Amino acid sequence: MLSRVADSLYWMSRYIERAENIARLLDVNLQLLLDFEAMDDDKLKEHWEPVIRAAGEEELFNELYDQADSQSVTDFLTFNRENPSSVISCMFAARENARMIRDQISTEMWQCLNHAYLFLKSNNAKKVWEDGPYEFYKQILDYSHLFQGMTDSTFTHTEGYYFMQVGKYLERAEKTSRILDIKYHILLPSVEDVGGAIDAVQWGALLRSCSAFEAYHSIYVTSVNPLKVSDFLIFNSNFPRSILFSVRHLDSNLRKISGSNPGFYSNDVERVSGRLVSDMTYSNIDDAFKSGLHEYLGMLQERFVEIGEAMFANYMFHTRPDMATEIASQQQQQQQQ
Amino acid sequence: MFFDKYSTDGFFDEMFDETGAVRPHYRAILERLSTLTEDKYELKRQAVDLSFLRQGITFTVYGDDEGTEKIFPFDLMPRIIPQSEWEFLERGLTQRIQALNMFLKDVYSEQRIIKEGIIPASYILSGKHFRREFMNVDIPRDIYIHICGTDLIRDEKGNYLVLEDNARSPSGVSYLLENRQAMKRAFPTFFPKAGVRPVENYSEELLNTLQYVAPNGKEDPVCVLLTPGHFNSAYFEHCFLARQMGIEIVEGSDLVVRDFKVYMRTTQGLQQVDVIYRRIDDDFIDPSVFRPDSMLGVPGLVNALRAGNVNIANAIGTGIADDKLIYAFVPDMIRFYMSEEPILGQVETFFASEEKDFTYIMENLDQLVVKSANEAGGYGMLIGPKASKKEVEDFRAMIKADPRNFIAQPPIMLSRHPTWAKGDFEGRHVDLRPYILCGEKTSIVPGGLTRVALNKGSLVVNSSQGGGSKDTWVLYSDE
Amino acid sequence: MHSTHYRYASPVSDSINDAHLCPVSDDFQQCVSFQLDFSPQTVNVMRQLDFYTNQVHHFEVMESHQLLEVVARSEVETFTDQRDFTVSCPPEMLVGLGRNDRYYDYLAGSQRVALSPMIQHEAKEIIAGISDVRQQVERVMGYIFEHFEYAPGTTHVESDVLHVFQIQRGVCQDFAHVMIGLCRSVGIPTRYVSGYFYVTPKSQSTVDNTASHAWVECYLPNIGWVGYDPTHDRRTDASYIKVAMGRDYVDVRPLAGTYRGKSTVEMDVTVSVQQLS
Repeated sequence: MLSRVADSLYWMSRYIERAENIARLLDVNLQLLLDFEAMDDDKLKEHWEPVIRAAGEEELFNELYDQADSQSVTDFLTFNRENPSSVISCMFAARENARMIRDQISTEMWQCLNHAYLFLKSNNAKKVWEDGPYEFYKQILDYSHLFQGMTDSTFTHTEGYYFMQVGKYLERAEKTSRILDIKYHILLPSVEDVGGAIDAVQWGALLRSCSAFEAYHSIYVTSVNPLKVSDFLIFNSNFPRSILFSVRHLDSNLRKISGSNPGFYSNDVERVSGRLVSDMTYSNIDDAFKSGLHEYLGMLQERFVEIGEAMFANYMFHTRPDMATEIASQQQQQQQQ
Repeated sequence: MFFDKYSTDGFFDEMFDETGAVRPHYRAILERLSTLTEDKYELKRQAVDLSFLRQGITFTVYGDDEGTEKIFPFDLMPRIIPQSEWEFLERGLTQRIQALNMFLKDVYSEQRIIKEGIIPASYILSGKHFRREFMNVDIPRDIYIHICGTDLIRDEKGNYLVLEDNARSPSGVSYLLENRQAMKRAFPTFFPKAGVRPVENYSEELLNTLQYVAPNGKEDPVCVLLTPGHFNSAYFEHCFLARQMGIEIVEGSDLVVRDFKVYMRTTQGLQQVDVIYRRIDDDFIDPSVFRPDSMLGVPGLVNALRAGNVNIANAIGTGIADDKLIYAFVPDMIRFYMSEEPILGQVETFFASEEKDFTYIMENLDQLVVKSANEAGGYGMLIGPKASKKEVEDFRAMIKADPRNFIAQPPIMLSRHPTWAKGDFEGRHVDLRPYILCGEKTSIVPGGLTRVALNKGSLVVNSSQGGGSKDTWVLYSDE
Repeated sequence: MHSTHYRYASPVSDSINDAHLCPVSDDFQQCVSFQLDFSPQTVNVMRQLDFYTNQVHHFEVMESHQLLEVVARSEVETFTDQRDFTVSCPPEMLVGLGRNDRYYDYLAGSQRVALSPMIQHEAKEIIAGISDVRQQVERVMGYIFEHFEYAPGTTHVESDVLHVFQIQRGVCQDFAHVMIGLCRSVGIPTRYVSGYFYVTPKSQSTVDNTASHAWVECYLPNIGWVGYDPTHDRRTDASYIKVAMGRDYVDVRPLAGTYRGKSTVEMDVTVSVQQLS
């Protein structure tokens, strides 16, 4: 497979996953506000800032907007084309990657992304959002799920598919860790100090942001407990959006690309991903809290970056050179004198 | 009822003769249409448009930021060619492409045609697309033009004339194939009964052609399609063809040259490439030889070609064969290389670079069609009878400044074809671009891209300028 | 010996180059031996004749490198031109050559030598009253020698003929371009010649010999192609070694190519010509 194609498959898949996560995050947080009485500006700010942080676009937001409120944040993260992590930017980027490799993916996959693109590009999109953000975000989630389903059932499960899975799970692990990290920003230093109704609502929202509310309650009958929520989202081995689950699937798909056996590695990306799997397999939530949840999540995020970089170095290093800076230069010539 | 008010207005009409009677090969379709109502027809039409848009069968319009992708308007009413007419075209086109390939071989080696005074050296050496860098490079099997898209028109008497030989990298063949698909979907019961020759094996023939011209007759050569990238207006077509042939579609940055061999970069390392079907102009193909600012090409590709380690289709330098000055000499080429008389006619051409012709052009500018010698796609063209005074004067100045770059032709009233125009059929001007493949044998897909000037009275059929297309049916018989 | 060093500030790769460094063999000189050496040595070389029948070496250095060295060593035997230069060269014999494949390129404008009415006007004035092509050419050469100042540093390798005309200064490359422009615009086929010029150690020359030299060849009826050096105002002789010819500098660049990398480069070239016998 061409390196460029692998690169596009990987990013197409990552962008779709990213769009889905941002859409869900926004939807849940908009709904969460309904549970509270009217909030003043500061409270609203407190509510939305972590969301921007979870999307990883704090600086850009401050450049573009004066104030963090429902209007500005949702606009920034949904429709703003200047924000590379907005829902619309991600969907467009996914579709653009698909377009670059249209001959390599199934017609169904292409039509799904193209349909999403045409929807978002139309005036209708904004109207649907104004009529009810829930319907809008639901539509985005549907596109993502439709796309994943079509990928599963119409795209050959060979190398290209594995690259897509790697992209998806890496993005998912990354986003789940960031969404969980939001709570750290809301929480006080000591976990035991918090409790109460509002907090339970917040933790519930967190689970919903990861589509984990129902799955969580099928395991833990008790009310929402911060320790258990963290445990569930980080270490549950069967829930498909938990970090450990994502990391394991990431790792196994990497191995399918190279054909190397578990317990061994054939390149650097397998080495760093395998190491992360075993580190996580042999840790539990107490270890994570011991080092501090935020610190632990920060460590995970660094490892995700490491995997992404190794991925690039190993499979995509042949990929397009940075043409803007590495343009072919003319050899200097001597004047004949 | 359709066609009640239809008038040929004195033009040659593909469907109706001068008495207004339907031509025999259009009878069946006319019957089919008579069972449709206007609304039903309109529904079919909209369904086809929507499916084109859904599938992303689009082309890019440059200089238009929003909505850069447009569908190439498709007209449901097919253009029909009876068998005997097609056989004649096949013979004429085959003869022509053979002569062009012999010409290219000659002009890049011995140059007999110059030495024997058939074509003045100055016309060839001043050609923008004559590649001195490619002199004496051996080309596998001496085929330079592997894929040719010759534009044919019909004059007021219905004679087929060659208008242009597109010998560089002609596009549009994917529309031909997709149009056929659309027609089958729109007329699922009628189509099988219509006696239409299939076009679907084009991709297979193209792949055979590419494999046949691999360097040193290599078996099972690795072929790739080189595209300028997904911003190119024909990117859809590049993908389409690559997928149909089952070959990789690559961009310049996917290829590297090592030891004068071309490789593609894959996730498993470097893999050698033998034949490149390139959809990128000479100027951009190798920044180390041609335009150094090209980011689309492959540095070192030309050296690999010189070393005989890779072949490209079409060869570098074929542009000299579709230079509009050289066009005028194609009948002479056929006589010179093949000792035959040309089967297909072509349009009389005046050279602005010749004093006698120049005077004639200047005196009759508003009666002539003026073309820039090296442009394609309808750019750089003046249609004298339709142009404003200012346009004529602008061209006058341009011709004076660079006579070598212009030719003039008498305007040809292209034939017309019934075409859907808001509720009824009206006559619109059409041309025909068949696709010719030159490999082990010369093969022409039975059909072609019929382009139609959708604007009333317009003679410009290019997609970038208000043109659309039709499916082209070549029949097994004459009715 | 013609040696070229490129030093890049940071490593570059995918260097693809053409060298016009191998002297021609014709009626007036014989290239006895030629050797081309590279550093790094992992270079692929391919030799071909170009459109103007010059020997060109295509070579590529794909691996990363910071220094590229190209050394050409050639041994050339030159002969005295025995042709009779007193025969008449009627201009009428030049009429129609522009349609001939051997002369077309040397009569039309080229990349560095665009023909213009200004240059044509100038040329017509210079040769006014002279009816012999050889004398016309020699007058043009004399005119350049008198009116243009040899001044290294005033032009650069990419200067074109119009610029040189404006500043009336330049080096041999520019003088050759000017002469080409003037001669071609009055219908005399003229081509650019790149090569070396041997100066005896004792002679005081204004020309710095560390670079390759350039002059022109004009086509004179009844004689043939004759070399003229406008920088020295003389017909070329056995002390000139011809390496390549073409329409202008661009066709015969001793070394040209591209590489990949965002590096700046320093180039130094040394040329030395020695008399062997």
